[in-house]
Amino acid sequence: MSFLGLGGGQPQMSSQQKVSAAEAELDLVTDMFNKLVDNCHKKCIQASYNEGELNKGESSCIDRCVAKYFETNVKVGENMQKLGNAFGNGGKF
Amino acid sequence: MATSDTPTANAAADVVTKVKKPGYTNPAFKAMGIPPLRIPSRNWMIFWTVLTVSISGIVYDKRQQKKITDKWCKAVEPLSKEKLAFNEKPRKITVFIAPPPSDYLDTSMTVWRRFVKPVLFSSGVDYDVFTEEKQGLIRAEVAERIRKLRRELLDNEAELKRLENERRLWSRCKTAISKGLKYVKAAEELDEEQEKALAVKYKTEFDYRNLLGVYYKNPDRDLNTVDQDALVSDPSMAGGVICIGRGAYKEYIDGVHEGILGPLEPPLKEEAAKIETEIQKSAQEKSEEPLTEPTPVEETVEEKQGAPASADGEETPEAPKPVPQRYIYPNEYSDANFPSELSTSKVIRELESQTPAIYLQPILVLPMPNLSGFLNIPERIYRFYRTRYVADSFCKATTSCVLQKVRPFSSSIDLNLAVAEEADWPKKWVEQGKEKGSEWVSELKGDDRVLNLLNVFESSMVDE
Repeated sequence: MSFLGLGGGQPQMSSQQKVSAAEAELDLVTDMFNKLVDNCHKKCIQASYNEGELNKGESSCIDRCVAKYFETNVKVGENMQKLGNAFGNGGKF
Repeated sequence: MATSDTPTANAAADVVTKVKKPGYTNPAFKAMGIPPLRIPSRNWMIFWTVLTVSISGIVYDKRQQKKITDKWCKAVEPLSKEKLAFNEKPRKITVFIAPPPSDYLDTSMTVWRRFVKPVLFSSGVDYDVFTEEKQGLIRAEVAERIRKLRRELLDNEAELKRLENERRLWSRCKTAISKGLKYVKAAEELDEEQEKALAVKYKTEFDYRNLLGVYYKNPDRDLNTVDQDALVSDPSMAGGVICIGRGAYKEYIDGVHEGILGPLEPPLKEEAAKIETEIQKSAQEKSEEPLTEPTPVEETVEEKQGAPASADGEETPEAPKPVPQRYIYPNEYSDANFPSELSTSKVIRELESQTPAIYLQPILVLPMPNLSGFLNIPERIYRFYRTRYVADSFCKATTSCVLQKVRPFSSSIDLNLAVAEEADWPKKWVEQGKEKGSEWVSELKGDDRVLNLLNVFESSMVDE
C-alpha cells in the first residue's frame, strides 16, 4: 500500500500483464524441464537402447541427477533474487 | 709469477681431462656434430635415479589404484544392469562420514570419493551421505532417527486403539439410527438421501486425473512408489550403513543405544549434574534415575530454557549450534528398560516408507588411515606409496556391502571393528579428548539386548 506516493509497492497489473507474466513463467518452467530432461538423459541413459525398461544404475542416476538439478536451480534462483533485490534497492536510494 | 702460474694451470687442465671420460663416439657422429656420448657425473646420476624412482613409484601406485577400483566396479556392475520397475526405488545405503582426529572432513571425503562411491555408483544402489564437522552430530542424528520412529510407533498404536473404539461406537449408533429411519422415512425420501450421499461421494472422489492429462487412462496410475528395501522380509538384506572411520562407528553405536535405550524426552539434568554422574557412577545415582523421570512441569521449564538458546542461534547464524547432549550414558545402559514398542516379534519398520529401522540394517566399518605430525613423515611417505592396498581393502569392503555378505553382530569382536585406527590418533589429541570427555576416546560399550539386533558386513566373505 502506498502512502502519499511513498511505500512504493508493486504497481497494479492489468489482466493482460498478468496473463503475459503467467505465460512467461510457464515458458520458464517448461524450459527448465526440457533442459533437465535433456541433461539427465544425456548423462544417465545409454544410447544403445538395449532394453525398453530402465535398469537400476540408470534409475538411481536419474534420481540423483534430477535432485541435483532442482537443488542447483533453487540455489541459483535464490541468489539471483538476492542480487536483484540488492540492485533494486541500490537503484532506489 | 709466470713460472709458478703455468704448472697449476696445467694441473687443472689435467684434472679436467681426467674427470671428463672420453665417452663413446665415432667418425659418423663427429661428422654430424654430435658430441661424444658419455654418462653424466656421479651426482647427476644420483639425482636422476632418485627423481625417477620416486615419481615412477607414485605413478605406478596411482595406476594400480585405478586398476583396482575398476576391477571392483566391474565386479558389481551386473547388479546395476538388473531391471527396476519404474515405481520402485533402489536399495538405499546410509553413509556416515566423520573427519579424522585433528584433521578436516576433506580427508575422509577423499577416501569416500575415490574408493567407496565409485563402487556404490556402478552397482546402482542409492546412497545418502551424512557428514559431521564436530563430534557427536552423527550420534545425535542416529539417536534422533530412532527416537522419531519410536514416537511414531507409539502414536500409531494410540491412534489405532482410538479408531477401533470410535468405530465400535459409530457402528452401534449407525445400526440403531438406520433401524429407526427405515420405519420412519418413506421410500422417496430415502432416494433423495441416497442421491445426496452419492453427490458428496462424487465430489470427494473427484480427480482431474480421471479426465485428462498424462494419467488419463494410464494403467499404472494408482501404483505407489515402493522402496526395494521395504519388499525384503529379512531386515539384514535391506539397506545398509557405512561408517567411514572408527570415530563415526563409535558414534553410530552410541547413537543406536541412545535411541533405543534412552528416554524419548531430553534429560532434565543440567550439565553439572551430568558431570557428577560421569565421575561418580555410583549406585545412588542409578537408584535416583527413575525418580527423575520427566514430569510435565519440568518439561515446560526445559522447553523454556531451550527456546531462547535456539532463538539466539537463529539470530546469529555464525555461532555453531551446540551438539545435543546425550540422553543416556553407557554406564546407564544396563538399568534402562528395552522399550515395549520395539520389542515385538515383527520387524520394526519405518511407518511411511516401510523400510526396516536403521539399526536393523547391517553395518560396514571402514578404517580411515590417517597419520599426522612431523615426526611421522617417514611412515606417511611409506603409506603414500602403498595406497593401492588401502584402496583394495576399501573397495573390497564396499563390495561386500553391495553384495550383502552379512553376518550377525558378535558383541565380543565387533565392538573392536577398525580399532587399529586408534593407534594413528595423535596422543595429544587423545589426551585432550579425555579431558573434555569426548566420546571418541572413551571405550566403546554396548548392551547385549541392542547388540543382538545388529548385523555387520563381512568383507572376507567376498570372493576375489
